[in-house]
Amino acid sequence: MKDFDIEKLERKNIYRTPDNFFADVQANVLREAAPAPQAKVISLNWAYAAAAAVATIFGVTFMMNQHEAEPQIVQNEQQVSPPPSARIIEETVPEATLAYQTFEEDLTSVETDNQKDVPAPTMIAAKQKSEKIEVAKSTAVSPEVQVDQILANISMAELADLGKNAEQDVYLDLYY
Amino acid sequence: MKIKEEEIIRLMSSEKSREKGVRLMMDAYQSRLYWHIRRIIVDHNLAQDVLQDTFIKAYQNFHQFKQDSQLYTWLYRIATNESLQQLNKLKRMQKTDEDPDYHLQNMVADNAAPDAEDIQILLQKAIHSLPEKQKLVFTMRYYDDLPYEELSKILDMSVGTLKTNYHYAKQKVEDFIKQNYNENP
Repeated sequence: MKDFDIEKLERKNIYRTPDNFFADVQANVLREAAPAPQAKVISLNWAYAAAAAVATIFGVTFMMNQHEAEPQIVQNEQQVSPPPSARIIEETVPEATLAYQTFEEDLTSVETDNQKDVPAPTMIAAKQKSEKIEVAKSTAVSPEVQVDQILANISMAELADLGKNAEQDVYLDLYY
Repeated sequence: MKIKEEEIIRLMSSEKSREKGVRLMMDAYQSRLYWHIRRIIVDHNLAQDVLQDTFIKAYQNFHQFKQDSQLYTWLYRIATNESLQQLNKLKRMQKTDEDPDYHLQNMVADNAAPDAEDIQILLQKAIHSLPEKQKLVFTMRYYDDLPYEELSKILDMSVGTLKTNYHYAKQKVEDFIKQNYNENP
């Protein structure tokens, strides 16, 4: 072994490989490295693309206009319609009229037999107004005057009876 | 071989014929690359993984291949880098205090075919006793007969350095065999 020269040695592989080894390697490589199948790309004609773009623009514009038009209508409605108070009056007036008519019919149904002259609604309304004014005037009098008026109408004997019925205040007795 | 390589490059340059080109490339170089990897890594399963990764990287990064070098040079470069990465990974995972090169020497005998000659097994053990760069230069020069110019491109080393490394590697291998070969086992 003293004159050993490696260049004279035969080049040999000392290892073995399994059967079909290289076929398996190729299959694995192609399976892992091959790009995934891509979705089919549909080529789009320029005319179709332009038509689609125009349609989209019109659609968006139409939608925008529709959104803007809706508040205008509401505004117009607000301008045309009367204020809420007026609306309430409009709504309540027919009911009041109806109530008045029924009330009138009830009142007049009894009197129609004896009275031929039926007062006009305007006359009744005026009468009611004058009565209300009188009541208002009476209520406008001060409470002191009203008490004096009541006391003036009561006799001395009635006052003595009322004083007997009243409970005696024990604390007031101290000062008598 | 030159004509075949041009054909492979032409096929792989086109998206439509790339798969066909890869098949042709694997048919042409799979055996040489496998044995190159196997001599470095020893274990068959790991060598298979590295070979597959080599071809996959070549397939996916073919646009990076500069045609100023030969295709097999580029493939050898990928295979060598992948093998060294795999070896480093194994060294990091190795928990025992055993020297990684000594571990590879033991693996040689375990993985050798039953009919393998003792001198051949001893030669493989001697190769695994070499430093990494000398090991690579020696295997590619001795087994694959690659010219120094191509080795220079694969290993990023000058031709002069490669020649020196090969010379020292050859001397060490011969000494290892002389010391360990038993003529009467």
